[in-house]
Amino acid sequence: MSDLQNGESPLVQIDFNQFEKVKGIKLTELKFQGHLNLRGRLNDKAFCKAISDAIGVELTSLKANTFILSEDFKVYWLGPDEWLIVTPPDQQLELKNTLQQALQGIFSSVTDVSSGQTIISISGFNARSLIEKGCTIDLHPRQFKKGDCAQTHLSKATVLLSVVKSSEAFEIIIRRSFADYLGLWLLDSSSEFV
Amino acid sequence: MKNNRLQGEGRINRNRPLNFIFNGKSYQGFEGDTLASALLANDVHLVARSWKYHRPRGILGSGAEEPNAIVQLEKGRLTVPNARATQVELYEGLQASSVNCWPGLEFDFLSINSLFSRLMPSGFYYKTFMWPKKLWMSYEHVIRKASGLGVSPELPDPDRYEKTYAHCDVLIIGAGPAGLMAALAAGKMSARVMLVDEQSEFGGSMLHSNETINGQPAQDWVSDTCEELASMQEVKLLPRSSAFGYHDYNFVTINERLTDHLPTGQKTGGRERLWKVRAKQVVLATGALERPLVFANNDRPGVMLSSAVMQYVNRYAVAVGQEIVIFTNNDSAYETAMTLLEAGLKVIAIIDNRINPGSSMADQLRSEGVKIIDQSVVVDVKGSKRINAVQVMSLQPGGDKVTGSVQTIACDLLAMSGGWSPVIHLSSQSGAKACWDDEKACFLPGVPIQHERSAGASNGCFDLKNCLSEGMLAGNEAAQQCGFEVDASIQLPVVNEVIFNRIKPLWLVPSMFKAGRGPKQFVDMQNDVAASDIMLAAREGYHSVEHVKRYTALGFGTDQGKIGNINGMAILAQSLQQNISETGTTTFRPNYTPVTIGSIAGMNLGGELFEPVRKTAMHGWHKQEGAEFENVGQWKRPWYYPRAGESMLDAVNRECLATRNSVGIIDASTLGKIIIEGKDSGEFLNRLYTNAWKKLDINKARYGFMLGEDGMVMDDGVTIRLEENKYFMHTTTGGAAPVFSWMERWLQTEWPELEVFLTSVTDHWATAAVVGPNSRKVVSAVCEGIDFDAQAFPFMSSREGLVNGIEARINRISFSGELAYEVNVPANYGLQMWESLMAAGEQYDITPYGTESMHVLRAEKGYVIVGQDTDGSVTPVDLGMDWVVSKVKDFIGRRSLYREDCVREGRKQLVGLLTLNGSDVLPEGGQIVEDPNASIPIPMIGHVTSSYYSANLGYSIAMALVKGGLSRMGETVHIPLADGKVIAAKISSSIFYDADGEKQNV
Repeated sequence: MSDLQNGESPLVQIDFNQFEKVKGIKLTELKFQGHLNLRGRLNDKAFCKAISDAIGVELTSLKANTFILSEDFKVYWLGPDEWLIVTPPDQQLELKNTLQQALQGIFSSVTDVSSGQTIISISGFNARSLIEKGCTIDLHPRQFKKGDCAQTHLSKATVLLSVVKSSEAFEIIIRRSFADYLGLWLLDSSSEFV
Repeated sequence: MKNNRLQGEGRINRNRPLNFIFNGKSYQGFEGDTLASALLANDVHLVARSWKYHRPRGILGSGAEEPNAIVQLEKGRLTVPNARATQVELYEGLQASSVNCWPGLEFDFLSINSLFSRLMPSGFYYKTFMWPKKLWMSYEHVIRKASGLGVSPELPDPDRYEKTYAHCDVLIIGAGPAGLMAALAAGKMSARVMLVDEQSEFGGSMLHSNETINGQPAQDWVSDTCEELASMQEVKLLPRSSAFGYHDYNFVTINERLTDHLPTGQKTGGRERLWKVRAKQVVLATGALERPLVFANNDRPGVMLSSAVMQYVNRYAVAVGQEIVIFTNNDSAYETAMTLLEAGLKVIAIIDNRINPGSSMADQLRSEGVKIIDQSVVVDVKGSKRINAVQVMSLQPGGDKVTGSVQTIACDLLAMSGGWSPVIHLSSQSGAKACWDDEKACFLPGVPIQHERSAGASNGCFDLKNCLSEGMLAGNEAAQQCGFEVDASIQLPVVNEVIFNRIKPLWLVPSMFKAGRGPKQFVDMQNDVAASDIMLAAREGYHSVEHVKRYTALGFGTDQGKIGNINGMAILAQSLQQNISETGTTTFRPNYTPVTIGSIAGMNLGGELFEPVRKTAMHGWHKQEGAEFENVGQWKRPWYYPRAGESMLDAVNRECLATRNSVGIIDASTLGKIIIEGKDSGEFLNRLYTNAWKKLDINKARYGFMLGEDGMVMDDGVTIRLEENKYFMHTTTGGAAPVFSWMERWLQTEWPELEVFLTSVTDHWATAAVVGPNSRKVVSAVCEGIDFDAQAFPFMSSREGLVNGIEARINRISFSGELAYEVNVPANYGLQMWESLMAAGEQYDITPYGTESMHVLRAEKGYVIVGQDTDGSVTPVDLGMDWVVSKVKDFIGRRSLYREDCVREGRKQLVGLLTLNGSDVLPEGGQIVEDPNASIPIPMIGHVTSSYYSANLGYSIAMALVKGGLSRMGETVHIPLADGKVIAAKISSSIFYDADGEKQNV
């Protein structure tokens, strides 16, 4: 039943084939990505340099509620002293070790949360309408454009929502224990587009 | 059957006839009709009985204001009570019936109430049926059956209701001329516009107007404008959508009807959609409602609002009468007269209370043979189920008394106009205080409190030219406020200028009878409130308009006073000898029109969508094994795993015995888990927990209590030191989120100097607790890289290893008093880990157990559950757990522990209870008394917090909070039950099993 190499996704019970009937929505799971939660202080030059050296991202220039793609890593701003780094599958432990090495003696915290969350990609001309059914923030491209992210709600689940392509392609990072609920909600809510 | 359909075009589609049933009879209408227009086309005027007097009632208006034509739509699951026939779009196969009549509309038994109406004044029910008081319940049943409107559906609603959030720059409510113009202006400026209208098509009054715009019929301008708006990318058009609530921060709720206009078999998808809109700016272009006039028998079928008459003729091509009299106090009814003449109908007379109401229209009408009777009023109408004549009298100079003889004019329709009331409901809901305008005789929107503005008729502007220019201005202004530049190319359409003469207010029409003596002059038809009721209320001392509303029922019901309120307030003002400003209005509250409960409740009412169901990585396995689940916060946790034929008690007994005698396994993934990292982590824990942390060795675990600032137990759990500056904290399942916020709050707001970072890893780790004397054998068979020797890996310590080649952390901690290991792996591998442990445990008959057995096992050991044995008023000392409270360091809640109340004698303390009869199991929550025979109220000395049958001990055990309990050991107390039985129990230690704690250390 479960994949020995990667284990089992929290969305294992959701039948993604059902989304194929939905017009204007392509919905897939980006399974088994690495997720590292990073904490540190921006006014600590050593911290910023260590991160910049390790993943090539200047945290000081990453604006609030945005994310940036650097090589294979996506870095999301979560707070003034908190970021999320998403890596391709199986690279999280290596990156975690690299970062922890680089951050020796520096006030910081690198925590692997890869099994604690997963990513749902939603794209298509109805993607925005679908998300708007459960999300209070303004998703219009004038307000929420490519490169933006927001920690918000989708229905009753807390999510990290980001824009991959303005108005058309979004990614939702959802905590493992809420993932099945959100999958069912997305199935139910997209029924009007079938 | 008489057919009232006119030759003119109207906006109905004569190629699409539609069959429908009203009160069991079949009729035909056309696509584009409302139920009301289709009924009138079939000459059905009598559509309802009034709710108190059961008087025959006809269709009065043409929209949301309709007080009479309230119907029950469809049957069974799909039934809709109290639909306004004027707002129901006709569809093939529609079925409707009148509400509030028995046995039928034509002969209503309770119309006898009407004969006694003089005996049934305001407050009649309260005044009459209050004695004897205890009979009110029986009276009420009969009264409710006799009054009220439609019937609620008794079956579950089969429909789906969608809802969505939306944002825009400019939200325009009302798509009449002002609203359309505002949308056009804001749309051309590239603002994000939402245009909302409750009707099936946009245009508002233009849909039945005779006016021209840019030299074309107004309807053509409407369709051109709609087309242009539809082509604008950022403009969202929402017909069939009622903005029913204007809340704070420009939050507007809109109910969109998606399928109500479709035949029953063709409805698919959601029935309605609730739009929750945040608008930067709002334009209110909600139009105006015509007021009726208050004269004797003004509620008879065949008395209608003048604008409604015009609408039925022009928009629906229905002749609502053949011989028509008009009664007015303003010029707008003259347009109706013109319309009727053009349609070939006969206007016999216009009764106008004004002196020589000269206008170009009046002259034209006179030349066409219409008699204009000025300075006169209608004092009564004749006919019951349909009028057949009106009675007219002249007004004395001054206008407040009638004079001369009664002139009777035969007719089959009376069209009346008492002037116009701007629809200021949403403006008022937004916080603006309505202000009275004497010249226009109406309330106007007050100074905006939020980012809104009114335009057109809702702003008291009643001529088309100014409506359009106000609309354009409002659209420009609103979009400008959002940062857009005015589009210079926009032009105002050209319309004919019409000069209107001033209205002459006519509130209570003078009559030959003294008020309350003649036939009823209705103010609020839906609630059967007559002018005499309002005057009576004033005489009885009700001087506030809010009190009068509640005493008389003025302004309740589906129309919420749209018809009656202004007339009613004016009549109250007259009775109190005030002006209308002084009397004021009642508060306008949402909802503007009735909204279905379904729409507000929305989607996700049932199953797993109502509230998130949080699941662990092993959830599917538990389900497959037939576990019953328990809700713990939002989590579903296995409660117990019944085997075939087992009761809950059987299953729990089996699980508990298997765990203590061999090995059990429980999914403990739901516990909160927090990584605490930074050089001050130990100091932080010291301040957070009641006990000391700095000297804890790496890879060792310690139990801790967290208190609120009030010294009361807030959370508990085991925390492990992973590294010099890194700890792994467990919280209770329910406490995970609040405790995390609590910790961040202290770090961010009180102790920013501490170098500590927190990261939640609750969802990352899946945890299986393997419990029982054989647990070491099972866990050591699965975990690599760890020496499980009892000395090498002692109780309250932690090790890292591998499970199936995946990093794992094993904590030797116990919530049962048995030898136990908690195995943690990243949750993606949780199921594999669980299955491996089950396989390794097979030879020991490893038994999965749920939260119920967990509770029993921990209760046998006297371990508390925060939130079950504590309730926010319990200190660690009350629990007899002083050993966990440091006497030498400070921590949150410490000072509170030494408050007078916390150290007094007689506080409730946690003790054990053993029932004298070991098979009696006390109910949790049971109250404890010393003497069950004491006189009532019996002093209560405590309550049972936890209670179970212990299969391991062979008798029941309980924990309880008892006043001074720790010094009452051995005393017998009593627990009276709801059924009158009393159970006796002896106070004992709360540790029932393995009091020396040997078993967890083996």
